[in-house]
Amino acid sequence: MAGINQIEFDQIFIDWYYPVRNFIYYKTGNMQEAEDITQDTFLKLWEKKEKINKETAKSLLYTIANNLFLNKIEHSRVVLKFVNDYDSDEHLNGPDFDLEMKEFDLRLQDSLAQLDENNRSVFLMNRIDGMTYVQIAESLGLSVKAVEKRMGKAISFLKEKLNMRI
Amino acid sequence: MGRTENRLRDFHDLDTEQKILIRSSGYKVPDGISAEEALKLFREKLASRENDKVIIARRSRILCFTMAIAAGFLLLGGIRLLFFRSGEVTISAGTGSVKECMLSDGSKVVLNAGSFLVFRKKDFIENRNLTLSGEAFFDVVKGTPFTISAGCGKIKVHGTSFNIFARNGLFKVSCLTGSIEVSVSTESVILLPGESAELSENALVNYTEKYPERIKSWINGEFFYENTCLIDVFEEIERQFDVKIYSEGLKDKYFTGSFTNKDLKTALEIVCIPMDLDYEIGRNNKVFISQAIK
Repeated sequence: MAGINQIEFDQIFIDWYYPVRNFIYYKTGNMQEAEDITQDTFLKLWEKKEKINKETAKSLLYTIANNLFLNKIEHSRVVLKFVNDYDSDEHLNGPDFDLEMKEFDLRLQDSLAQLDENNRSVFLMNRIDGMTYVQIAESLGLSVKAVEKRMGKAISFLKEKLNMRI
Repeated sequence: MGRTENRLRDFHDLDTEQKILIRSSGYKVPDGISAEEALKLFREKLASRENDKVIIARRSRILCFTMAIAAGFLLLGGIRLLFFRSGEVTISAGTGSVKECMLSDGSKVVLNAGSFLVFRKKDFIENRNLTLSGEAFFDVVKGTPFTISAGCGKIKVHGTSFNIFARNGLFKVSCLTGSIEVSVSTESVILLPGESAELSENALVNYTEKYPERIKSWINGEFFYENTCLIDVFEEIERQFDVKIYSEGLKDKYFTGSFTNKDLKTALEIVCIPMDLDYEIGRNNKVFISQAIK
């Protein structure tokens, strides 16, 4: 049956707000912008809510978000800043370890920023949001093969960048 | 100290790909607003955009949803939206249908069959006063006090979700989240999540629900009863299936059990068999209940 009701819409909002916002953040590197685009994405979904169903809502969200991103964002150089969850317990880490991780993270994030945005978002959806290739494929309307390909490209690009100075 | 050296050595032993995969999976995006705050913001945006349009959603028994923007008179199946001169709006759900709507402040209401809700549309966000007849489940967003007059009682809330049943002198309020103030004439009680208040012999009695998940189970078409007057149960069946029930001698019978509003025959069997009753579905939505012949 076509159409989703208010309650279903709210549920979709709560369930998919973070993944969609992160998806845009991976592309822009700007949280404020990512939040704005995500709000606009849900407004567009709201307007279409009589015509869609729960199953298609998810992939539609990503499509709308990506289109809004392409229309809105000037493609400036992306700067990504992630905090690493692994290092939150500082007592366990010695200063040597912390320093080395910091340096590694800086170089990795710099390399990530240089990565093609499609490969980057697939890579980070898998690494940060813990989405499987199948889930990413469903969300972005791609084949699993295409997701594997993007992931492979991302990894080999990052490897190349990081090996350069070692 | 040794532990740290080990960790460092372990990391050095990894190849670049493993280092990349391990480090990146610990990354966290910068903090933003929470999904709940984002939803609130979204509702505010929607409310200011829709401004004085009233959105109504209609739900038929087979869960078919249609949306319509009301602009004047609107007739949709058994559901009517009437505007009076005073700016009052009535939203009603006819028998055999359940209706959901979002009020202009973002609060949600689900009206059970045979219920209606009256409020002033014009300055609703500042003065959230409503009158309910029948049964409804409310999910109220925070803001100015939200007051509902229902039957003989008054319910005052800020931001919470709860159920009201007010029919034929019966009055019952159940709180699901937040807290609410229920008052009947001079008496008033505060209800916390999972608590209910009922009017019994002109006194307001409050108690903790044994099965709080049943408070709004009617929204999914499930009706639970515990030692409830059989007449009240049959009245609910009348409203859910849009039928008229003819019966006799049920006055002192009480029912414990449940029925769903998917199928009339099943619902009648579930209620009648344990109560030693026979039923007959006649023409023109008539149902006849009689004592079972032994």
